[in-house]
Amino acid sequence: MKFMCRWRRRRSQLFRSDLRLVRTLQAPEQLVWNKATGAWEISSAAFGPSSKDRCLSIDIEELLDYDGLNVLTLYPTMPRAVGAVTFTVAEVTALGLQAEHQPVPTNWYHGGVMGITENKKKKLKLAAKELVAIDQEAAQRHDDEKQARIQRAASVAPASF
Amino acid sequence: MFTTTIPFDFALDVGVAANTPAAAVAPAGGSPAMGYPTRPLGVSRPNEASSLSESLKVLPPHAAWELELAENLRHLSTLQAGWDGAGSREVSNRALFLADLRIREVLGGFDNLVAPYLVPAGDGSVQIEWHESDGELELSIDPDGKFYIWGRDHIHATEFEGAGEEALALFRRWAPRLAAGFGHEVYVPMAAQTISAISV
Repeated sequence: MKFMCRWRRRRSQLFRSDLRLVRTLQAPEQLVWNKATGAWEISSAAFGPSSKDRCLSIDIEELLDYDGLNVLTLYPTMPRAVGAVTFTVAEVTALGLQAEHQPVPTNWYHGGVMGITENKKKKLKLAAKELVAIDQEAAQRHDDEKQARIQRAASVAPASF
Repeated sequence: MFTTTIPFDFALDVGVAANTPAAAVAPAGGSPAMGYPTRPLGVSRPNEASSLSESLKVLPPHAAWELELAENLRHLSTLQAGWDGAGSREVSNRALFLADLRIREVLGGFDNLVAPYLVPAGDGSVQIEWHESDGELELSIDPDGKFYIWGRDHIHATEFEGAGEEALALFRRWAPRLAAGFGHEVYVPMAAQTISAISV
């Protein structure tokens, strides 16, 4: 990837508006339990800017497709991933957002969605379609670990008062 | 302008009462032995140790939701840069402090509440969220201390949103309601509130 990032020409424009942008949920911290649906779901925080340059990190299907790679090729490389969703370039553009190729040393297929506001991240969440189902077990496990830490803290706290 | 670096972990650990500025009870060096590590934020306020002791005497035991809130905040404060992929930032101390402050401001003193989720974002912001059967609420706090709120009342099929002071006013109205369960009207402030329904 480092070699590709250094020597391969960066795409200045995405052409296929029907192809998808993949947003991988890299942390269980961005899952919340929805009592109405009775399931763990993705928080809208996962659709906000995911980096200091105010872009939402995504992988670009058009570039993966060009290299003959499946849209899920990179998913196993993310150790804490708990699911993935997609939206098309057309859907992103319709919201007044812009997708751009932003290769990084660890991922040449990486891109960013720019122009995200609080309101638009809600709309982006609504537009998202599930590619890899939310790992309900991993989410529950993460929550169980949290509850165990709270129990430990509760057993310590009164003694300090 | 927020200029003082405050060990927010400490404010959590001692269960700062509602309407008590956390800075007023922040001691030197972080928390007492409460089981939570503190971030080295470089605060030295040795003269306030005695007032801290006084405060501790009158504080009630931790409510369950306070312990959960404290754990959520502690955990988010441990996330390192890159936790959400390349370029993602660690969660802003300021956003965490404001989240703690705003939650305690409206829920402090009550027990038997549902603790909110605290959801980090890769730009360093944090969201306070409830997703209950009858409604949902999300207050976003960015690293610059800007607020944005979105909510949905499932009972009346309305959505609302707001920014800045309006967001905080909506949060004060709706957060107790979500935290207590929608049926507990006793927790809903009486002040009139403008809600712009954007979809029905």
